[in-house]
Amino acid sequence: MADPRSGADLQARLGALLRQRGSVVASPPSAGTTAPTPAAGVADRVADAVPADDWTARIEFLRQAQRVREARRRTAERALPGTEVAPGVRCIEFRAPLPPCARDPVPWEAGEGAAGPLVYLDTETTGLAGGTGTLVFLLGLAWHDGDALAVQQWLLVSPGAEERIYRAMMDRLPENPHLVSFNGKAFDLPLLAARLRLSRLRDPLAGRAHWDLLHPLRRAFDSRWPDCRLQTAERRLLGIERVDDLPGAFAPQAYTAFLRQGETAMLGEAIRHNRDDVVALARLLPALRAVYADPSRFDADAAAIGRRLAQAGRPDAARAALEGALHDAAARRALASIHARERRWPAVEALLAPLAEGPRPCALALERLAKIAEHVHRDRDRARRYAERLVAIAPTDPRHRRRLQRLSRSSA
Amino acid sequence: MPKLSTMPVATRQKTPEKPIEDFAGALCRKHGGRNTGQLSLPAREGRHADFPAELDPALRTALERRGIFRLYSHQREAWDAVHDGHDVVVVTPTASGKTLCYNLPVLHAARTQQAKALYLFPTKALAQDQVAELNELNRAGELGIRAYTFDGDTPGDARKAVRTRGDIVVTNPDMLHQAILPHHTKWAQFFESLRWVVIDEVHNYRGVFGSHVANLIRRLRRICAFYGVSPRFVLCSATIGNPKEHAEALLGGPVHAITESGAPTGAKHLLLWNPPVINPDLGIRASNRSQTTRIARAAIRAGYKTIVFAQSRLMVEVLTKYLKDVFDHDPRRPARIHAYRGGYLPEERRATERKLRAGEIDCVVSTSALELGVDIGSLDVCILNGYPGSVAATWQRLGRAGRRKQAALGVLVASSDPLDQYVVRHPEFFFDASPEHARIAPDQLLILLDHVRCAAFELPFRDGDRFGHADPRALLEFLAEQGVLHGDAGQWHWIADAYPANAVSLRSVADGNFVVVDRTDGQQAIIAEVDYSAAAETLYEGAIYMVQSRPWQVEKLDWVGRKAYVTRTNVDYYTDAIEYQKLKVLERFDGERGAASDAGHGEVHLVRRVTGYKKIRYYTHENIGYGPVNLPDREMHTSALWWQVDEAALDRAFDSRWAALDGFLGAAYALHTVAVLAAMAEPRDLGKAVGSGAGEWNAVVDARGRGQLRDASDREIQPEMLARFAPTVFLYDNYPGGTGFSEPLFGQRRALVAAARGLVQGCDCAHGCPACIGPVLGSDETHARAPKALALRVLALFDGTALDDGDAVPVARPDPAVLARESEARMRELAVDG
Repeated sequence: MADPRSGADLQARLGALLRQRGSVVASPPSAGTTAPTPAAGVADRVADAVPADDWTARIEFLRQAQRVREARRRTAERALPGTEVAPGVRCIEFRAPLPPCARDPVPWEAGEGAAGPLVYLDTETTGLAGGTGTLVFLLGLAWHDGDALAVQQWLLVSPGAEERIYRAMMDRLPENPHLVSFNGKAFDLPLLAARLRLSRLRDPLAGRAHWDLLHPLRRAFDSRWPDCRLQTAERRLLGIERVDDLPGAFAPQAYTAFLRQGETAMLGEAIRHNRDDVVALARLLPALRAVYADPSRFDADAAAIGRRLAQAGRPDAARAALEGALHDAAARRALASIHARERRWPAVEALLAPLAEGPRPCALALERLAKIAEHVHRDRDRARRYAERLVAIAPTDPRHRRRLQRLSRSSA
Repeated sequence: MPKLSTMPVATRQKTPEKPIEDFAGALCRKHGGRNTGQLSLPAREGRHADFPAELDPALRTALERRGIFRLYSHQREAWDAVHDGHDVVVVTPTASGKTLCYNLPVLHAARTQQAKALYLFPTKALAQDQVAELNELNRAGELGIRAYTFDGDTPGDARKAVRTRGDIVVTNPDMLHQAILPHHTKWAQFFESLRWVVIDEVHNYRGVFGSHVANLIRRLRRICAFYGVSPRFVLCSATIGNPKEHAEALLGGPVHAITESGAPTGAKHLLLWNPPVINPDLGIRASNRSQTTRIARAAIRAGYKTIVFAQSRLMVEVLTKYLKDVFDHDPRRPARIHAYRGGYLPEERRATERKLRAGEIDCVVSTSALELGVDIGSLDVCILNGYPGSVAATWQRLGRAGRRKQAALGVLVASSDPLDQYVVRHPEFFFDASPEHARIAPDQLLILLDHVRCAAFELPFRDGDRFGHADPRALLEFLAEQGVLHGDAGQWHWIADAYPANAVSLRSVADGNFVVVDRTDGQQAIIAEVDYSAAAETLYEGAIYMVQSRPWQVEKLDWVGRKAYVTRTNVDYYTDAIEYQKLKVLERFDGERGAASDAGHGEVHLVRRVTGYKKIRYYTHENIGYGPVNLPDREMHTSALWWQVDEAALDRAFDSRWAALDGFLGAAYALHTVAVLAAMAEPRDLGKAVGSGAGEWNAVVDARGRGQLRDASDREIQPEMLARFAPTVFLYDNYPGGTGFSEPLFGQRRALVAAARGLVQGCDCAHGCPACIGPVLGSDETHARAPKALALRVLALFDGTALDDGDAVPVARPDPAVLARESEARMRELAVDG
């Protein structure tokens, strides 16, 4: 029996066996049963050039194609931006002008200052699935440099050079960096940690201070916008509309098209997309700060922002954020809660009274007013009236019934 | 049976009045003839050994507080072997203290060297039990060891603690495959200190599943090597014929086998029980359900704690209802009968386990869910409603009775299934030298490719790296051509946007399941998924598809979209696909000439097409109709073994070629049945076919149950028209690329033929039935064609003992005593051959 582990014979067996078990195989396309897959490219040409069952010829053809591909890729590399800084690694540098408001690193939402120089970070990867096999092919970092933002991107021209990218990054990373990202806590950083571990390198990003802008953005706009993607924020908060942007989801394809076919056009767009994302981070940071200072101006969710600021121990900032948004019932309730914590009962009553009026009164407001009437003013009659209205609007809630019963008993 | 004086005394409060031997005797006297065999294993004294001198003192104290002052001999042997640097497999019966064989060295190393351990169990329930046991020991000695389960139920926020703080992580192969290895960098801390890998219940990892697990271990070793560790493996298995060989195949290296148990056991008695025949011509028997309930009732009334194992969840419910109707009619009293199966809430199952341990329940009815080591205390009687499919599983289930030092009774109640009927008539099958061999084929190409793919995702391959014994280079090139990997500077990087472990199921070779969509009353509910390889035979339009024995009818099959649309129906028949197979031998690896026959083993090419289906009425098995099917051909390259008879011998033995053909079809059916048993396989893991072997013609059983010949272009032909007529029986591995069954079966070919003869001769039917040579037509009985005799004649020719005078083949019922002796000798031979 021929050794099935060798070359063309094995390839032929595998192709046949895979189809027999129901798998979709990229090539050769067998008479109309399997649809050609996106990766077909060269395979299609092989199928045209060489009979499907002559596997020895097919393998030889593919090896030639591989050599051609390598040569084409080397030529193509010259069409890529940037310079080769290490074998298999290109570095692309860019200075982006920043508006005055974005020039200084600023304190963020909970009032804490930056722990060190801000470093903006975004990656492009071969997939979104996670796990150790997902490759970071483009790493974009940026920092403030005078009035501008200095962007540095490292492109993995050959996957084997991965380690050199991380070494280049470590050389360039400032002491004690403070990271700014968009969804970096859940995606970019775990992925980089896995890849650094695979390269047996220390993770210079682990344990660093990190502002992930996705979460404050969601808090402010999840209830207001159809989605909270970075570009949505750019459009709505910064008024920037990207032209001919390559959607991020196509980045994996751009990279494989470059590796397999030496196509650089799409990869160039992915590089531009990454650069725009990094720059957007630096612009979004002051914009978000403005949102948190005055949510109503941006139609943001003032109540959520107020609660967050209060929780972070900044009641003054929370009050300031909420006071401009009193047209919003949720904001009123949030502000009332802050006052209640500080036992400013008249302020609480003033805020909640309007909510307790009208044809559809707010149960939470009524409940709180009932408590204040009972325990602060010792006015059981007033408390009972609130309780009666509570039972009227939510007849099934046993807590309201009990309250009403108790108040009725004790005042009788 | 042992004498009464040797009976250990049961120590529970409600001691039954009679010793269990008397109960068994009374049962047999009352239903003479249903008990087809019995065997008894005597009680055995324990053999002990001291704790190792170097054992961590705190651990020793913990054991002493739990009442353990010395070890069983096999526990000590395991300790010594692992400390001599061997990987170990421990093969001892249920309740022999297997867990201490690995817990002792693992806990000792965790205490003294901060060594970590990974435990693999096949089910979540077992994993939870194991952690509970470890925690008890831990508390008893304040050992400070952290043991955690890690499975699909582990909440996201707890996972980090498991990864970073667990000394012992208890999980299952699927989690290792899909969650741990593809994220190994998150587990870096764990892997860096990993010193022990424990794999329990390894007899479960056989066939396709076992081949996947062997590759999973290769992946685990690769990751371990990356973190610079090389953990010691401790494996445990129920009794199988080849524990050492199987463990070595799984681990890919030498393994020290420990097979002598030092634990004491009570006497064990096993009764084989066959329901009475109610229609001798058709070989139809009374249902085993009523027999099972009858025996259970008697046992419960006599005060014995009883467990009943059923083969399906539905049967658990049915049997529970029958028993509850008798014992639990008063709702004010606590239930005496409980059901236990997958699909119940975990709390409910835990409660039943607790009550069993406390002796508060008189009977539990369970699926295989209670077969493995979940602790339920000691029971007296174990009734198996149907043969569980392997001797190993049978002994494991029987092990549920008499876990401590008391005598126990097991009763195996056979169904009318051919496997059951074979087993129940061959008591010798159960002597402890089990003939079953767990087989795996770790280098099966498709399985290998799946795991090389997953491994490449986990860690880039470098040129020259090996995967198990294999050089994966050609596979890596293939994956590169598929656009999955990128070869660069001697390294192979994963570049696809995919998470390959999600696409690889450890239990199948096939890719892409069909979903079964219920459209009854305008709804759209998915009720099942069917493997690609089984779809054509089960989901053709018109098929009756069963879930929990409830019938649905397939209305539409979308082959490309992989969907079958079904509606609820209420029919009194099931359907059986008529499949046309075209089989061609590509290469003969080995063979043997007999007196008038030829046997071989090699690679075959198989084309299959479902051409129609039969409707078969329940209970009577009559064909009541036929429907056509139009589906694409399916091709398969696989390996097979085969038997052929010389043309001259064939002409002498048979009046006509038609008769010979019927004989071959019957022989194939019987050989398939015994081969499935010998290979410890599922019936569908092995295929059978009758054809010329060169692809000129192949035989099918047509809609009327009659053999039929079809040529290479699927036209019906007459055997008398063929210039050359050399029918061949094939048994093949039913997966593309093969699964490693057919080669060892070829080695056992003579024993297989002998066992098949024993099966057919010993069957109680007159002309042939589903329990021996497959269903036969009513007309055969009236025309006295005796397909059973024809099949026997073919098997005799395979055996080389063909009689010159064809009439001498017995058609009348043979003397059962003679047959039992003969088949006993043959099964011994089968055991030795393996």
